[in-house]
Amino acid sequence: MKEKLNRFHIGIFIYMIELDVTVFSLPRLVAENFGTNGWLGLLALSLVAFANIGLIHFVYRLGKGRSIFQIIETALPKWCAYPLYVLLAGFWLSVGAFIGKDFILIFQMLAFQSTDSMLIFFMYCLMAYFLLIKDLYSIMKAVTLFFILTTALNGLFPFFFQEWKLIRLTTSFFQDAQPGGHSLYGMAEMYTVFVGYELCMLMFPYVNEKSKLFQGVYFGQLFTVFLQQLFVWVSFGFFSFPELKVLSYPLIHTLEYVEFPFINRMENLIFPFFLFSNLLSTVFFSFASMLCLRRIFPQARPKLIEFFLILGVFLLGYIPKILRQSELLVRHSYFIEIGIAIVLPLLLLLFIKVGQWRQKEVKV
Amino acid sequence: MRAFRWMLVLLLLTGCSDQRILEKVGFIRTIAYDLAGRDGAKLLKVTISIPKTKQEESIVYSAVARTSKQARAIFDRQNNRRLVNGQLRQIVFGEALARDGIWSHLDAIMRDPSVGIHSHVVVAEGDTERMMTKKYEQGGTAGEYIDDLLRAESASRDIPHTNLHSFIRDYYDDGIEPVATILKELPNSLMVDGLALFRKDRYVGRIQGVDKMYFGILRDSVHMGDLNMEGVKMGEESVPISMSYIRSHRKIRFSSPKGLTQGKRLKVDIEIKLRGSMLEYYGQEPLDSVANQRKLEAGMSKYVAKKCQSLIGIMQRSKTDSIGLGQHVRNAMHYRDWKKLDWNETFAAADITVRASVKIKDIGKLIRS
Repeated sequence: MKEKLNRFHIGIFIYMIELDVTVFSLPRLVAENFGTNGWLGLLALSLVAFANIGLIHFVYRLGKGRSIFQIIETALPKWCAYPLYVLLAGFWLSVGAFIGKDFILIFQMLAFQSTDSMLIFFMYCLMAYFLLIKDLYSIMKAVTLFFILTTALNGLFPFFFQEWKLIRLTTSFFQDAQPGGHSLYGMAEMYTVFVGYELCMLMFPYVNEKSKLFQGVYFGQLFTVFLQQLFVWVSFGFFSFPELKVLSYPLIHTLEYVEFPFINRMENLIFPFFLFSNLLSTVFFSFASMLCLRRIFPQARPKLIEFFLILGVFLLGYIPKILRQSELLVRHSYFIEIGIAIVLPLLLLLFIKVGQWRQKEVKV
Repeated sequence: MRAFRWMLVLLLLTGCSDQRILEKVGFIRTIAYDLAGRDGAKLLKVTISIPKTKQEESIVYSAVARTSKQARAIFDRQNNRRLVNGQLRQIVFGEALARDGIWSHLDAIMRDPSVGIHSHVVVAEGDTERMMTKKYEQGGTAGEYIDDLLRAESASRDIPHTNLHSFIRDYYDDGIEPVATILKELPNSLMVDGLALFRKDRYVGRIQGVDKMYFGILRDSVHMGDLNMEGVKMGEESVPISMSYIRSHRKIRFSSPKGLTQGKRLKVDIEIKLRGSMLEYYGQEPLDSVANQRKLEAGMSKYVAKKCQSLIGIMQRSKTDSIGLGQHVRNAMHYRDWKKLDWNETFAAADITVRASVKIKDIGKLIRS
């Protein structure tokens, strides 16, 4: 690929991949897990995400821009590395599929309730396929367009000012969380809203010095945190605190409030915009999966791997049949992804060191 | 490949089972719940109103059932169109049912994603079915009439928002109680006759229609509306006055909440600052004199304070904090102590004083009669 990504692309990529199904329930998760004024807890958790990005940044520097596959293969023999790639590919593919199916099931609460969810998911997969067969630079062009469409929705915030009251935020901090909140599980559940940034590890070969990859990643993460905070603040002043804990998707409720003199029930028009951000999450997790498989099968026919991957996404979509299942699958696969986001860079650091020792040994 | 893609698109189009053909859908505009029997039988009378295509007439169905969904099944069997809730604008509760508690019905409504949160929550004084079947001089269907009426009232800031969103929000909030609009049936029309005060989901008290604005300025800051005063003292004289374009601001001060959980009595001071244009004045004293204006302002301040004080009395007797004092007290306490407190009891026993300061912004185009 000749064209390299710039930091703007990277920034919006980070934002779009983090903006997925978890955002629909974000204020509820904050209320359940942190309690009153939980926004502060979310802000603290975002520092963990920044630290994690810092770790990946360190890997990028030490690895001198080498791809993660090159780093792994300096330390591990191929027979050892390939099963790891297969595992990662399978896992990332499942994450992409579960996000997509979860979105479709949530979408079906609002529209197309009696259509077979797999039919809608099939169309979703079709869109994902047509994006995936393009090169990364072309995907990023679509990302830019989708970014403009979804970010424009933030212009709706002033609608809620009239009904927003600071007093509803209360003066207490971290009180009245749900049983099970303030726990490691609760924090992990909360942290799922940041999942996605770790895929910047796969961007190493697509950038050069000029791209300033990590400026983009930090900026994208900052932008995401800013909008998440804004959304949580709006929700905590717009709904009452105990109400937030019972609303399954506060985002949908806030959208329901938007009304123009000439049109009401706007949420049916606005909500599908979130299709783009979820579609991109599916595409990028599938893309990550594809990179792993391409490493194993570099000679594979163009579009063949992509076809089988999307077929895999579609078939995996059969696993969650009801919303409860899909939410659980997304949550648990995100837990694993959080683990990958921390462990994989640490492993890469180790591999870099091992590689360096080996080189020294060879020189000696 | 191109042909394959087009075939795929055509294939997908055949799968559209979720069609909503406008002419084949019956949009429920109003849904009303009432008790079917007063002898303790837990039967519901559910009435729905569906506007016809031309919007000037509506079809009204009524059925007695155990739950709303059962009644809906009866309507479905009668109606030739598929009933949908997407355009539901009013949820009306009969007075008796509202006193019994409405949560189970609201819960079912709120759970339904097709219902919008702008729907008005209304308590009806009168027969709900008759209210919806009657033809009104104002034209259109009953549902449309009620919708316009409530929107006009809300827009004039006479009444606080009493839609599904605000009702549910305040229902869950432990520092404020929800309110709903009361609609009264008149021979030829309907009238917003006040506000129903709820304690959680039970209708426990009412604010008269003429006092809605006083309730409004107690509950929140008001930026628009008219305030009518009967018999404001101006020296020896007692005059009716009307203020327009009022703007008000309330300030709440209270004694330390320490010891409230041990039964200490709370002392609350509500200070209302209000100003507006005086466009209707029936007094004899000329208003071009600053001294007279001040005299009038003092009289109006006393009047407003007294009126508000009487409304506080209604709320305290009903043991419902509909103006959200609890939200302020909660924010001054440790959350754990707040949770231990029975706020409505504390509110009912509190020593609440209202003070008002009314200022005449202008006196209109004439300086004397």
